Amino acid sequence: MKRTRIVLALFAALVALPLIAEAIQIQRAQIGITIIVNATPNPLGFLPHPPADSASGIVARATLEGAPKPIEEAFERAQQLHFVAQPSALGGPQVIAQAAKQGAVRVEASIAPNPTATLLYSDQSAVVLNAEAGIATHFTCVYHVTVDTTISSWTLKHGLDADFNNGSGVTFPGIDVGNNSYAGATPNPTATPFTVYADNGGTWYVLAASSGAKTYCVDIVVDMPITTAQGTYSSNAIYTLYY
Amino acid sequence: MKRFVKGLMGVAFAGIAAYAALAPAAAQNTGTTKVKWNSLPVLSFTLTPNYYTGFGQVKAVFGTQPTPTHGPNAGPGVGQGDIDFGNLLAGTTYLYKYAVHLNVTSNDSNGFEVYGEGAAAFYNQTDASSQPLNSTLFYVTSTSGTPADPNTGFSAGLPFQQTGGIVTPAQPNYAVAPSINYGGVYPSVPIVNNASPSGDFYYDYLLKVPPLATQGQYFVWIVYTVVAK
Repeated sequence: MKRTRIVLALFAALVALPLIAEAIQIQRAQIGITIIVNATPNPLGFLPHPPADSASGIVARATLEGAPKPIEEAFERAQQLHFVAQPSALGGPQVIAQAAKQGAVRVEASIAPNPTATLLYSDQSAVVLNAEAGIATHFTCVYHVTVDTTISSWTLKHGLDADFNNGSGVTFPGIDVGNNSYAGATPNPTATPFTVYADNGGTWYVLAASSGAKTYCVDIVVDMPITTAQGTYSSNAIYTLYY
Repeated sequence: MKRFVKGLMGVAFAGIAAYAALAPAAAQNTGTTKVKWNSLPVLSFTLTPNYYTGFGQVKAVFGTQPTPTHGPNAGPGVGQGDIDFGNLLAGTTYLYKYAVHLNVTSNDSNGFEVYGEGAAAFYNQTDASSQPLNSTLFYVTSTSGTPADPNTGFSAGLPFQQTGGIVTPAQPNYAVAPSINYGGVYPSVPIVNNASPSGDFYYDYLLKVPPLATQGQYFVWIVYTVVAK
């Protein structure tokens, strides 16, 4: 009976060891990559025009259905008119002076090398994505995240620090942006929404538990609400390395 | 002869008298004329660095925030000096709190736009290398100080772009504050597009030091341009 207890205790310890090891991993490095989304509004009810006739070079043409023949012809001629800016007496476009004022401030820093700076790093500190509200837009391998260590067991977690914000308090949810993060050349079958640290109880999502040096390619899918106002929004994708 | 001269003088005086009599009548003629001019709005712009007590940089961390610190060229008082981040480590992100306050007043009911651009890349005076500005230096909307600035080094910002305008004096030039000549063609996206005549705007700066940035003393001038609409 005593021997059985010892065996059971040893078995339990063996099972729990990896969990304990993971639990005592501590944060070693943390980086943020700014994701900037230039949102264009969705033209509600827009029906795409068929391709233009390449032979005629006409991009768009309207007709006055049911109008008298002379008016219809005049309308068609009018469509072929080109409008140009009225030139000034000096030959260039007319420019009205604008009131403008300038001021400058100097920004400086004394930078020293960091021996651990390449433990966790990205090839981009900020990325700019142009997307239309209401339409899921895919971006392939927008940035890479690299863990450069010989440690045999580490965990990489990620998420957005907050929802996307235009700087004036207008936001759209961070979970409307998905990521497909993969090591190697083959993406995962689907993208998953970013978790948002500020909305998610202050926890990060485990991207990978692995060993040695690894580089992850990150595809991004932007699918913001159709009501998103035009503007520039940003959030930070945060990556944290533990071992 | 004497009579001829007198006669001539008489004719001259008669002519002057007639002109004097007729001239006022001509001046009383009236007409209309259209006078047209373009008047520039009055615009005033004040840029205040280190605008609130507690200005300075903090390393990007979650949770309890470190006490802000800064380099020797910031301050020493509120509203003075450079945005001097001080000593930083490569591969690390820092937030500079209460960096700049922009105050704009005008009489233009259409409002105004503010552009903020770097005069050059982030230049290392020690080895003449440089880092791209739009992946290094960012701005983050802040507060006047009341309420307190809630930002951290992981708050999302927008990047400063290196200008495409003509910079005077040529960069790098540490000593002289530059100006940018846009030739009437301003950047496509302003940092502020204000619909009212006046406004106050507060910003923190975010510095993402590249992992492989070389050691040295870096600087860049950020130039703000306010344009009436």
